[in-house]
This record gives sequence, structure tokens and C-alpha cells, in this order.
Amino acid sequence: MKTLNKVLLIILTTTSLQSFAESGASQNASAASKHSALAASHGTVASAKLGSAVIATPLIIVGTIGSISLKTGKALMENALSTTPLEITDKTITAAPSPAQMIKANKQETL
Amino acid sequence: MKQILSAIMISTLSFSSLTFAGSAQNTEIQFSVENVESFAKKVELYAAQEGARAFIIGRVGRPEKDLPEGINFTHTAIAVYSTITLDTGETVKGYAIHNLYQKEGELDKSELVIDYPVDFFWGVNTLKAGIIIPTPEIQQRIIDVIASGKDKQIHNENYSVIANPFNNTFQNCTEHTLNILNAGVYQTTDITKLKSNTEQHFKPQKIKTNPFKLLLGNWFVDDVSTKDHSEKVYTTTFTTIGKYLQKNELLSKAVVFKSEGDIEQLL
Repeated sequence: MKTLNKVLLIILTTTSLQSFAESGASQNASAASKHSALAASHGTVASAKLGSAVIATPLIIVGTIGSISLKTGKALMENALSTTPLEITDKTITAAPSPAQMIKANKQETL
Repeated sequence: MKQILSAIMISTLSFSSLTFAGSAQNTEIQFSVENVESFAKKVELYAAQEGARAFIIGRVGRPEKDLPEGINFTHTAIAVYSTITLDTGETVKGYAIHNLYQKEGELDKSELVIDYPVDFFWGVNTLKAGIIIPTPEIQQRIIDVIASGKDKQIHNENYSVIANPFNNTFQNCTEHTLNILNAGVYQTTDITKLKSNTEQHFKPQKIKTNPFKLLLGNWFVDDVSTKDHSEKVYTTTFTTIGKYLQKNELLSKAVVFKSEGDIEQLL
């Protein structure tokens, strides 16, 4: 009976822990297949509507917070920073898959 | 003995309710590619229309019915309006999302990763986004922290899904977001100062769960630890960050953006 209980406990714990650990899936394991799926969904116009990012540079308003605050005060600074609509590309941008992800995807496709 | 077994069974079967924090990108898409792509672009356009240069973004990576009380989003990060250079050499404007993700195969460790809206929402369980837009001044301070690389200085790679925001023993995606926010507010990367200020002014979410489940998690699951907590477990959430900004008059807007384009107030 004791052994049976132990087995039961291990089974219950293991099954529940698998569910728990799902929150910790890999960061980008399907990145390469994601690119394929997106390309497929766009068909022949894929290259026009998809973009693979190399680098992203945050856009900073000219002048630092400190310098603007000192020179013009908070109100003007907020005017400079506030709610003007921003331009957004109509392309779908994705993070480029890592070499490991590319190789993994290529292997899966050739199996 | 039967009672003990029943207790174990109940505890373990409901153990999955702790799986609320998804500091990771699910590998399987759960909607059509077109739906995810369209939703991600709508979120981006909404934030751009609001003039948000930096905002806090949340997603729902697990069935909402499984989320514990007080937890509405499973992963949180910061979206920054950026010039994005593509592999073709072309430059475009859009949001780059700055994430803390768990490492693949090493779930008790994390790394900082930049991805983009369609990557961010790729594996979600619900097409729903949390959007917290701080005041313009705070947005700029957040951008300054990230653009200067100071976000890396306040990253602790030791990961726990229920990390205590009042110390730096472990860190999860939401605590990292709070650290970046506070680094901007207090203009420091001194983690001792940041944690002291957090303890004085930030109200985290209490995790209401069975202590036995936590004990099991502590023993058997890499990315769950209670070592950084005393008796009760408190952690940072997307919503508690929104409340923190609101209480300190640093919030412009906090909404939930749904797939149909409906917008609900978060707070």
C-alpha cells in the first residue's frame, strides 16, 4: 500500500508539474517556422509585406528630459512629447530567427 | 490515509492554477496566422494613434479560466517606438518589444530579448492585449533607460515565476518591467535603492494559493521558488503596475484591447 501511495504521489505530482512548467516554454523555438507560416500566408507578396528586423533603435525626442525641463518647463516638454499620432509601417516585422532555430527548422522540414 | 491521498490529489490537480506567468513565447500558434498578424498590427496602430512612444504591454498566454484571482495577463514587457532596420537595409517605424524571457531548457534563468508585436502575440491563448501608457515624461524616462542599456544593469537572470518585487533574489518579466520603470523614475540603477523604494510605494499582488502546491512547486519545478518570500507570497503583475502609476499620477491610459477592436478600461 505504501509503495502504491508513493507511485500515486509521483504520478500526480509529475502530471501537475508538467502543466506548471508550461509557463516556461522556450523563448522563440518556433521562430523559423513562424517566418515560414507568415510567408505562406502572404503568398507571392510576402517580400513586400514582411520584414525581418536586424536592429531596433528607440526614437528619442531631441534634447533630454533634463535639458528641456530646465529651458522650457514641464508644459512645453509635455507638448513636445505628448499625443501626436505616430507613423507605423504597414509591414509585419518579426525578430530574425537565431542560427540554432534556423538549423532546427531546416532539419524538421527535411525529415 | 484516504484523506491524505484525497488532499494530495486535490492539491496536485489544481496545481496548474499557478501557471500564470508566461515569461516565454509559446511555440504553437493557436489562431490563424492572419488573425494574429492582424491583431498585432491593430494593437500597434492603437498605441501609435495615442502617441505612445513607450508603453507597457501584456498578453494572455494561458486559458483565462486557469488564471488565479488578481492575475489577468501572463506576460508583461515594454514596447518602445523605434526605427527598425530590416535585413534588406530598409528602415521602418514601429514598436520593438523589450522582454525578459525564460531561457530555453533552463527555466530558472532568463535573458533579455527584443521582439515585435506579431512575435509577442504569436502563441497567445486569447487575442487580448493589456496596454498601459504612462505619462509622456515617464515614457521618455523609460526610453532613456532602455536606450542607454541600463535595463541590462537591473536584470537578474535568476528566474522565479512568483518573484518577490521587494528583493532581488529572483526576477520575472513583470518585476523587470517595474525595475525599468523605477530606474527611470528614480534615475538610478542601484538595485538596493530601487528595491527600498519599491517596498515603500508599490503594492504587489498577493498570490492566493494552497501552501502545499507552493511547497511542491518549490521542490520540483525549476522556475518556482518561495525562497525569496516570508510567509505570504506577493508578486508584481501587469495590473499592479498600472495601479502604481495611477496612484502616483504617472498614468495616461490603461486599457484592455480586444480582437474585435473593443477597448475596455483596465482600472
